[in-house]
Amino acid sequence: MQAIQLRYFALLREERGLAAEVIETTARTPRDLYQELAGRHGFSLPAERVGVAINESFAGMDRELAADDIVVFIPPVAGG
Amino acid sequence: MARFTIAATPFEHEPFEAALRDHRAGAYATFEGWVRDHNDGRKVARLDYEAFEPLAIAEAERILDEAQAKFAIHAARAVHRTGTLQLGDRAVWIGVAASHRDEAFRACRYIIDEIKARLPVWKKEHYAGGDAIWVNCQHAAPSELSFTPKLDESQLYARQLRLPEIGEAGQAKLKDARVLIVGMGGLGSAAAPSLAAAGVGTLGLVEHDELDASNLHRQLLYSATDIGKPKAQLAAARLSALNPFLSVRVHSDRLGPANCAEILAGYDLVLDCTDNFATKYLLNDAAHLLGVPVVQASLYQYEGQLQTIDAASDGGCLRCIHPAPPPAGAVGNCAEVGVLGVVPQLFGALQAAEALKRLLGMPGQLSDATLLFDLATFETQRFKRPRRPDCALCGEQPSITSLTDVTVAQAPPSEIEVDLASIDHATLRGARWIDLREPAERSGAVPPGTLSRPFGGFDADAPGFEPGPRTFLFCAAGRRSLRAAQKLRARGWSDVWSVRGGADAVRAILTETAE
Ligand SMILES: [Zn+2]
Ligand SMILES: [Zn+2]
Repeated sequence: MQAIQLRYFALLREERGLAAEVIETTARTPRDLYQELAGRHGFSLPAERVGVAINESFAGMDRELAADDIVVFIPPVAGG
Repeated sequence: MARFTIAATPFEHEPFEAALRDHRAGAYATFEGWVRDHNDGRKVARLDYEAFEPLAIAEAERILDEAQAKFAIHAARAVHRTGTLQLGDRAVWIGVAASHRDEAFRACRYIIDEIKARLPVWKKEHYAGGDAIWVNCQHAAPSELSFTPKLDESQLYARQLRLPEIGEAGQAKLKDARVLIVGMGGLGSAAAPSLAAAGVGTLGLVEHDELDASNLHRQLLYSATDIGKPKAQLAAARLSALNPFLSVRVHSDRLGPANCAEILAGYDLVLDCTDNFATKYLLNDAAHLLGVPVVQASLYQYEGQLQTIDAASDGGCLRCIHPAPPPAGAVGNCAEVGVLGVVPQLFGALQAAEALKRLLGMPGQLSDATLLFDLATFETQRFKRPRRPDCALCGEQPSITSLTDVTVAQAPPSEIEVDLASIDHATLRGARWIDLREPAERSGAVPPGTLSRPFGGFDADAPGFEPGPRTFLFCAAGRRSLRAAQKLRARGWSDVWSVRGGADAVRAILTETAE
């Protein structure tokens, strides 16, 4: 178990009903973490349609997570 | 008879000539402008002229006064056409009567030159290929200049010329710059006036829509009196009025893979102000395949993202983050999920700021970073955006090598969605129905006993959602009901379903069972 700081953007914030939270998880990658959250909260987008930033930079969904990482899930948006 | 006439239909010159007859006159010079079949190397099929009539008449009368004062002539008349003109039609007629031919010729020349330069008249060229462009170059610009004849362009920029990053040299760079704005909705109508006012020399506008009442809460460039008129043309007029030194080009075709390269070729920088994934991905790909940087903004309700896609930088592209667009309808646009008007205004201004920084060569650009801004919390986040080696566009072995239609896939049928047409009548009659639409959107018949639980205040604990009979959720299009069904399923409730196709599908089944 490690603590991860989560932030949600746009559609995901709406679906989660929260902008940020800290969770304890055994997920080793953003992909695993997203699947875990999607199951719990009923996210509508599949993992391959969601972008992720870890700390200061965009990253791949398969990068290894470390304790206290700030993970931001970013769905595609197109409004204008 | 006024000396200047605007003719909305083809006209004969004889009455105007007759009005100039004068026994003192030994010379009569005329000029006629005709519609020719080519312009700038393109075959022209016909033209539309449109004038700001009161201003055009006042300005033309002033020109005729000036001619009368400058040259020894007895009288002068001028006519300008508006409306649709065919090849060979007379667009302008000028007649001057004088004692001697020299003064008649010179005055005639003066009048046509000034009319071309100063009259607020727009020309829309229809080309042989079927497309059309509103031309509002210097020759046809509505010259507010003529009403403030002493206006010197540099006066407009006095406050920014003082900035050390700009100065005369920076202002000259802006004057030379050509920026294409794709989409004149919320983002575009905020970005465009900022760039025009800053002195960007050439602006291109891509927009094929007409002004709708629902645009006005966020598109402050337009007026309620112009509802129903073409936005590109309204924007061009407003921008030229704001900065008469600006050259505005209007592209009223929809941007697609076929015309993208041709349109982008005339510009140094593109602002993606669109609100759909297909065009966003097209412009993203164009940034790499055509080498034109694209400043991209995308919004969601109170939030937005800003980034620049630049093949010359080592930053990643949109596909590095989201390799392909989401299925149609999976993520709402402004029309579907709503947007607070200041959000596009702010992001349009941020796009203009990024464009100016780029044109001026200032640091801190977003070619390798993405800015997220949430107006609900006023929180900003800035992320580095490295290229992904496996990106299909900008990676090491790109598979996208030409511009093609970006297909936005239809969402696959979800296993918690139902097609009502495939369900038997007994089941439909025995079900619990929940309408998730907001009160203002409700219209049409619903099954008897339908509960109303607007999605805006969705609460899974509200009475009606608890496990019970088979439950069908519906909204307008089926997106919110799918969301709600997912939330209820996530609680472990199994007999709750989202109606595919929304209220229309419900109405169809009611009509059918009534028959
Ligand atoms: Zn929009
Ligand atoms: Zn890329």
